[in-house]
Amino acid sequence: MQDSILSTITKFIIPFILLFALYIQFHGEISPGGGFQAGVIFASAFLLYALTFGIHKAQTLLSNTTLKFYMSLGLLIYAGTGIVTMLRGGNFLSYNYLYFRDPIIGQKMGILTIELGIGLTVFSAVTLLFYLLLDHEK
Amino acid sequence: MGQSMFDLDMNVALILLFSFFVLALSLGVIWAKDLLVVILFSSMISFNMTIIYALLLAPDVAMTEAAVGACLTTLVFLASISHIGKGLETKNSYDITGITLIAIAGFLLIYIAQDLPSFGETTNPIHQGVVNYYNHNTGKDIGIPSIVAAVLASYRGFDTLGETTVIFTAALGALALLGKRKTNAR
Repeated sequence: MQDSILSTITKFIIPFILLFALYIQFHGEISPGGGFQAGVIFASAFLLYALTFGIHKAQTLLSNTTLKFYMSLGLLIYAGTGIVTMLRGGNFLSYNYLYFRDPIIGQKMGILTIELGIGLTVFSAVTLLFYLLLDHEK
Repeated sequence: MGQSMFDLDMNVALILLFSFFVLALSLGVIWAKDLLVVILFSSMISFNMTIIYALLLAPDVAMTEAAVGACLTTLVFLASISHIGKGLETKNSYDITGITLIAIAGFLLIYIAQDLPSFGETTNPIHQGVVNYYNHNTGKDIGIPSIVAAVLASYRGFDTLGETTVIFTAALGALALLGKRKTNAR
């Protein structure tokens, strides 16, 4: 039951949702939002695609295995940032040690990196959850 | 001064209005006969809560409520009723014990709420603690304009790592439960 209005609107609106999610992700330290919100919004674009065109078409775009990989990678980026700051002589997740000459730049680098990790994990976890829920309904 | 007083009153009035909507929709959830209607009502509750959070100047929370509460939770429920069907067996009997317990609990909640500090006062305990440090030192320590992002990602980075781990673990749990069922069905 492919509705032409639904599929046209979906194709039209998905790029804007993705762009908005990226804006929320990388603008999070200036405006409201951050990794968590960006991940959920990014996932909602994929869910819209999966609901409109079917789960299997969405899975060819982004498979369960890829999502599991991204989910783990996001958490690894977050925890890895902490490990890097430890190796550079600071406490766990003390971003000042990421850039010795200017601690403020170190803080910004750290926040950008861990927000990326949060975004990746939340996006893949939510999308994977819906793949699992929608997949075995047939 | 008069302008700002008007704004404040307008804000409180809008919050009360949307709280009333939330109350009405909750009653709708209780009395609805169809699971689909229940899900749509709870989604509308989330939308109203989004507006309330935005009026309370908490855009981060409002954004999360709109994305998670109104969109994703609704989708989880919709995906679930595609499995279990949307019929709802309703009993029209009233359990006197249950109603009494709920009435007592509700009375206690309203009674205890009298002791809460008044809404929005700067002298409230919640504004006395570490929040002053964050307000004054975020620019110096972190150098970013959003205090919320600074607290979440830097000052309380360890907590956020825990939250991300919770989401990761939740997805692992769903994978362990539903992923296995899928392979069995094939």
